[in-house]
Amino acid sequence: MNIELIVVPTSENVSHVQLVGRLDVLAMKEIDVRFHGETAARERSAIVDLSRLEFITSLGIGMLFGCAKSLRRRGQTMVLLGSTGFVDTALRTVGVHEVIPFATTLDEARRLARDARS
Amino acid sequence: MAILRLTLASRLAEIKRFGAALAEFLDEEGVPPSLAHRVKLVIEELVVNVIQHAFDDGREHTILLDVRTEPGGVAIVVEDDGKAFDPRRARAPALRDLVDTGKSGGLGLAMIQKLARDLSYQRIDGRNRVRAFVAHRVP
Repeated sequence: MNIELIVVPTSENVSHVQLVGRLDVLAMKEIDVRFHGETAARERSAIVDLSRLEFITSLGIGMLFGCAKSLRRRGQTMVLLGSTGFVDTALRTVGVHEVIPFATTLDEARRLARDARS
Repeated sequence: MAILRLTLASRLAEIKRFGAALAEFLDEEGVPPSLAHRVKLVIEELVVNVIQHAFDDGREHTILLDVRTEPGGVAIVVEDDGKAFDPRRARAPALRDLVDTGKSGGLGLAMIQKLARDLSYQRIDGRNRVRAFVAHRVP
């Protein structure tokens, strides 16, 4: 399996998921529906932990944009947490950090998610 | 200088096959991880773009991939017999618009333009030939 989607239990009023592995075109087709189900469909801000993601392509970024759009329409936000190494480089290369908030710690991610709702 | 040549069918399942061969080649050639990641991304974006947009006749086509290590980086050539398309002419999309629409159109080509240098395009005898060079030094 290229990609794994882990739902992180949380007592906060936010969704929290972690992506593990490679988010390429095949992986995106594999988890797209479930990713939206665990994030955008819940209609509350979502923290997407990328700390264990090793690779991402434009279609993977498109999946994140799709989720961000759905949440934004409902006055919620998506926060990207803990991107490192190549994934962080790839995201920043095309400027994703300019349109979706990045956080380096879980506390910061929670605060950004809360701020979006206030 | 070492060369990897692959012939791919124009279907997405090929991504896994060439990804494994490419990873093995780059590892054997001692290409450092930061460069290898950028090479893999540029190739995947180029090949997926061809598979998804170059053909509209419903038939399976062949894509030729040539990867070679050179002093200073890795050279990539992708050839296909699909519709003429010059990736240098693609304009980077406005990210705000992409988030507003939830789409990623044009983002792959923007990534290629940022990560590769010396991007060139030729149309020869009905075939597209795209060459990109991914340097050790980040552009």
